[in-house]
Amino acid sequence: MILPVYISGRRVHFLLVQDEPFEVLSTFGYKFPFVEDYSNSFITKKKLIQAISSITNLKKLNSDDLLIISDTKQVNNIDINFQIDEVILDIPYLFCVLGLYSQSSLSALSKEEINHFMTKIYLGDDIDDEIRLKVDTSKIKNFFKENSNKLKTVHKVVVCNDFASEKYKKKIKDIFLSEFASNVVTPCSFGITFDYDYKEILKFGFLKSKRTDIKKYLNSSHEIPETKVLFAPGAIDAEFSIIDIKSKTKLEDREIKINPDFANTLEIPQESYVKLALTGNKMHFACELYTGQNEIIIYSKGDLS
Amino acid sequence: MIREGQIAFNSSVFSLFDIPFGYLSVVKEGDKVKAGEQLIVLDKKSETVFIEGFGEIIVKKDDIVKPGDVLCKHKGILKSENMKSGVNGTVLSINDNVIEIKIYNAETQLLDSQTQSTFNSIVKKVEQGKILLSFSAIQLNLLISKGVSSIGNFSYNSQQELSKMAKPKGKDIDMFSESIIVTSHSTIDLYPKLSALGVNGLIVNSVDYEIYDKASVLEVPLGVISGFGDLLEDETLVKWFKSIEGQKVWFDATFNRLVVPSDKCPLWIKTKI
Repeated sequence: MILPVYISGRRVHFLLVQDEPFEVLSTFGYKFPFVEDYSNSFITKKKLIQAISSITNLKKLNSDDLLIISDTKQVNNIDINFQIDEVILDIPYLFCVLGLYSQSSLSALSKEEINHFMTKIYLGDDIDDEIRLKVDTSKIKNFFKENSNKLKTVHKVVVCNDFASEKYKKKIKDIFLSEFASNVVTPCSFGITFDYDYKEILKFGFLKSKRTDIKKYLNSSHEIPETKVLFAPGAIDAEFSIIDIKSKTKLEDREIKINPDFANTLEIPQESYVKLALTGNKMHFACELYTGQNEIIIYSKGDLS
Repeated sequence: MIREGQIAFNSSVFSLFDIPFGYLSVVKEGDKVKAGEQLIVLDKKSETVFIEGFGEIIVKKDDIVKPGDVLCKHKGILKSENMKSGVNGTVLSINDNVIEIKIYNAETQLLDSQTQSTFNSIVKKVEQGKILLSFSAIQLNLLISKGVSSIGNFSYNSQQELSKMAKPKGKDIDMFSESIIVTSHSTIDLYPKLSALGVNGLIVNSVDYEIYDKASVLEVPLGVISGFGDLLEDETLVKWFKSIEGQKVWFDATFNRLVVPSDKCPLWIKTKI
């Protein structure tokens, strides 16, 4: 049995997976408590195994069963099998990894906020949402600065983040999509997954350790992204037909006005796709969109190129 | 506010004493040693040189010599001749004209304090050039620290007292020399100023992260008790600091702790490690 485990600082995420055929059975998250006595605070492989065993009730786990992934080469005395960068290197997705905080994260904060932030980091406490949001927003902006070219060739984005409240998750989703829309200059659609369990990284880490052909896996697995987003800068009106995938019969015609300030959600039934026509002052765009989810989000923010 | 478990009585604080090359342990496992008691002595069996002297032998048995020191001299009619030592070492014996010198490196010329136990301790193990000592102590866990661990005399000072000391004079320098200073808050100039005064360590309740991060710490360790910013001191801790003024303490920057040797656990400290 191999358990892919992501560890960063005192935070741990891991998956239970079925090997053949590959399937993620469950995801788990755990945060080691802060230990005042520094000499006892190190997270060892033994402590890690004890924590995983008690959470999963898996007995007889040993260190060879763990596939350790982290953002650093070593966590205390635990050797790492893969660093995040090694895992995502040749995956045809873009990964925006939030939740990893470093010196570069501090540039968005005031002196008082830095003091608060760093004290919480050293104590392993949860950072106030307001400050965390500033840091994550800055990281999101940097992500788009660094990856604007790659967005022309990649059509799936994974946003990884750590433990967060539902309210925080929604805020991050709004900020990410809004920032994304600001960086898009021609109509295009993306599958976006917001991953709070590091599930995607752990999954690909596991597949890599098994020397699986990732492209072949992705072609055969038909993975469905959490959110399908159509970025259409300058679009004002949307006309769309909902069509049943199997019979190809039209189920419904609808029209909506697109609000440029918000995410415009089209709800669609399962097992259907949409034929869509968007018009604006200087644009006309038509496409067919398939999604495994019940909705498509349209963003018209941004400048049309 | 003290964090849960931040201060505790530790019945077995371990410290490692390195036996330098050329020295031998004079203690064994299970020995109880008092503060100031000798732990190591020069190893008489280590390498020696025999030098054939002439004329008048200047050095005496047990003299410590370094390169260039005159060992013997001969006054001739036309000129005088000296024979100088080419090594660091101790004169072990003088037989006729033969001077036996036990060689050791300059680094092994230790001060008494470097060969003695700092605290009342129990010898737990002696092996591979190291002596493992154990003693009971009150341990204050720091949020973070950097620099090299050190031992010094504890001194608590308010921030006002330290900031008044713009131009330290002789008395201040004596007061701070070889001290572990604890204070409420650090300004940007405090750490370099105290380092220049010869303190052995600085521990602050709080400090701006930027100041802590940018402090270039080489030898003198710097530690933080509560966190970053300007945080209130805990009154109980301040009371305790005042009660241990002048006591010899260990600022263990490796394990982020201030170790204050104590035989008993004070009543106000509940948590035990």
